[in-house]
Amino acid sequence: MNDTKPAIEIRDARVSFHGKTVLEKIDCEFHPRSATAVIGSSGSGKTTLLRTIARMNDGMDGFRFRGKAFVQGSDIYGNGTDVCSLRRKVGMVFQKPCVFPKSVFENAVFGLKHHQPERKKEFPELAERFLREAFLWDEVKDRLHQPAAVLSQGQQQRLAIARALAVGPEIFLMDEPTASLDPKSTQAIEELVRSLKEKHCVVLATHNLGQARRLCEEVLFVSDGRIRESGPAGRVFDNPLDEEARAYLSQ
Amino acid sequence: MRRRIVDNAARGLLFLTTLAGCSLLALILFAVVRRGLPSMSIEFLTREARDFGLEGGIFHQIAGTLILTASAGIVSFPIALGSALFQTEFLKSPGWKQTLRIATYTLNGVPTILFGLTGYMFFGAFLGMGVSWVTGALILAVMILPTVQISVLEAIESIPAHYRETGMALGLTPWAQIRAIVLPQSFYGIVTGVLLGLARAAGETAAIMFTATAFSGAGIPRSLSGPVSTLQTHILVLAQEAVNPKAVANAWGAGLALTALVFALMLSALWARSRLRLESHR
Repeated sequence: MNDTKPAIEIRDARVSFHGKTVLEKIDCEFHPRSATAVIGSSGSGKTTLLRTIARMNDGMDGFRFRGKAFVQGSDIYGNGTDVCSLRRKVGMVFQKPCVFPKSVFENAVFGLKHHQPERKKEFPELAERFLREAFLWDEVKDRLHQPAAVLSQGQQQRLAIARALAVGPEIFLMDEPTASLDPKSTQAIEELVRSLKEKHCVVLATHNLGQARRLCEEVLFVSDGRIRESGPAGRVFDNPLDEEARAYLSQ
Repeated sequence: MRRRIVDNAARGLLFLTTLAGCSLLALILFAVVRRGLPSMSIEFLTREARDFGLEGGIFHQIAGTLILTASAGIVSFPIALGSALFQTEFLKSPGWKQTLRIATYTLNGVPTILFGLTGYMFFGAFLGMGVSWVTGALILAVMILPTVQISVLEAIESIPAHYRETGMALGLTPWAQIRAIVLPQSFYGIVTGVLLGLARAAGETAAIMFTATAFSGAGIPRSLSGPVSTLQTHILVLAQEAVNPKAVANAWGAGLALTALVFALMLSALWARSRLRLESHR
C-alpha cells in the first residue's frame, strides 16, 4: 500500500508564533498514493500542521519553525528552498472554497497562466482535462465563461481542486474541504479524494470521523499541538492506544 | 419620558449640524453657479484670455490646469503604487508598517503653502528649474502623494485574504501575485485614489502660485521649463481687480469651470468606488 520513500517527512518539529508553541514534537510521515487523515478537535493544530508543510505560515508575524521537514527528500526549511516551487508540488485546498471573481474557465487555468503561459493554446483542453479530473466538467461544460461565483459551494470547491490540479502537485493538503458543504457536495468531494489518492499523496484534515475512516489508510490524531496517536486507520479507529484519542474517537 | 426628550434633542441637534454643513456647501455652490453662469459660453471656454483676462476666454487656463494636474498624477501614481505594494506585499515588520503609515498621514496634513515653499526652494531654486511646469508638477505630485498613497493602500488592503492565500498556495511568486491578484482586485480602488488625488491637485492654488504659474501671458507651455497658466491663479488675478465688474464676472466664470472640473473628478472617483464595491461582492 505505502511506497517505501515518504512523500513528506517531519522530524522533531516545533512551530511557534511569537514564542507561543502551537505544534511540538511532531514526528510523522505521509506516503505517496495514499490518504492520511489528520483528526483532532478545533484548535488542536491540524491546520497549522498542513500549512507548515506548504510553508504557508512564512508570511505570518512571529512564525518560527524548528526541526526538519522534508518533501520528496528535500529539506523545505533549509537554506535555498524555492518556496514557490515547493507550493507547486504541494497543492492546498482550504476549508472555504475560494474562487476568483472570474469565469469558471479563467479560474481553472489561473495557475497555468502563470506557470506555463507558453501553453496558452492548450488551455481549453487542459481546462477540460482538470475539470474532468475534479468531476466537475459535466456540470460546467456549458457555462465555462460564466462567473465562477454562481456555482454552488460544492462546485466551487471542486473548481478550486481542479485549479490546484492544473499546477501539477504531487501532494494534496486538504484542510477540512467538506466542512462548509452539503451532503451531496461532500459525497462528490469524497469521490474526488478517492480518485486523487490513486496518484497523489493526500493529507486530509477533517472533523468528520466517518469520512476519515472511509477515505484514509492512515490516521494521525493531534491534540494540543502534539501527535498523540498515529497508525493504520483500522487500528486507530478500532483500538486506539492513547487515552485522549480513545475519548475523542468514542464521541 | 426624560430619556425620550434627551434623545429627540440630540437627534435634532445632530440634524441641525448636518443641515448647517450641507447648506453652507450648497450656498457656495449656488453662488458659484449663479455668478459664474452669465460668463459661461462656448467662446469663454475655447478662447484665449486677452487684456489680462478681461477679454477672451479661459482656454489656456483650463489646458494649464489639466496639464499640471495630469503631470502631478503621472509623477505621483507610480511612487504611491510602488510604496503601497512594498508596504502590503513585502514589508513584514508591523512596526515599520505603522511608522510609514504615520509618516504618510502626517505628510497629508502639512499645509500646502509649505509644499510650495520647500518645493520651490528645492526644485525651483536648488535644482534651477525656476517657475515652470516641471516645478509645479513635482510640487503637486509630492503634495497629492499621501492622498493617493493612502487610497491605494486601503484599496490593496481591502482585498480578501483568501485570494492571496490561494495565489500563494498555487505557487505564484510575489510579483505574479501582484500582477494576477493584487492589481486586478484593487483596480477600481486605485483609480479612486488617483482621481481623488487629481481632484486635490486641480483645486490647489497655494503650492503652485509662485512656483509654476504665470499670472498672465502664459499659453500652453512649449517645454517643461515653461510656466503654466492655471484656472486657480487666473481667478486670483481677476479677483484682485475687484473694482472692474467684467474681471469679477470672468473670475466667477473661471471658478465655475474649476468647480466643474473638480466635481467631474470627484464623481468619477465615486463611480470607481462603487465599481469596487460591486466587484468585491461578486
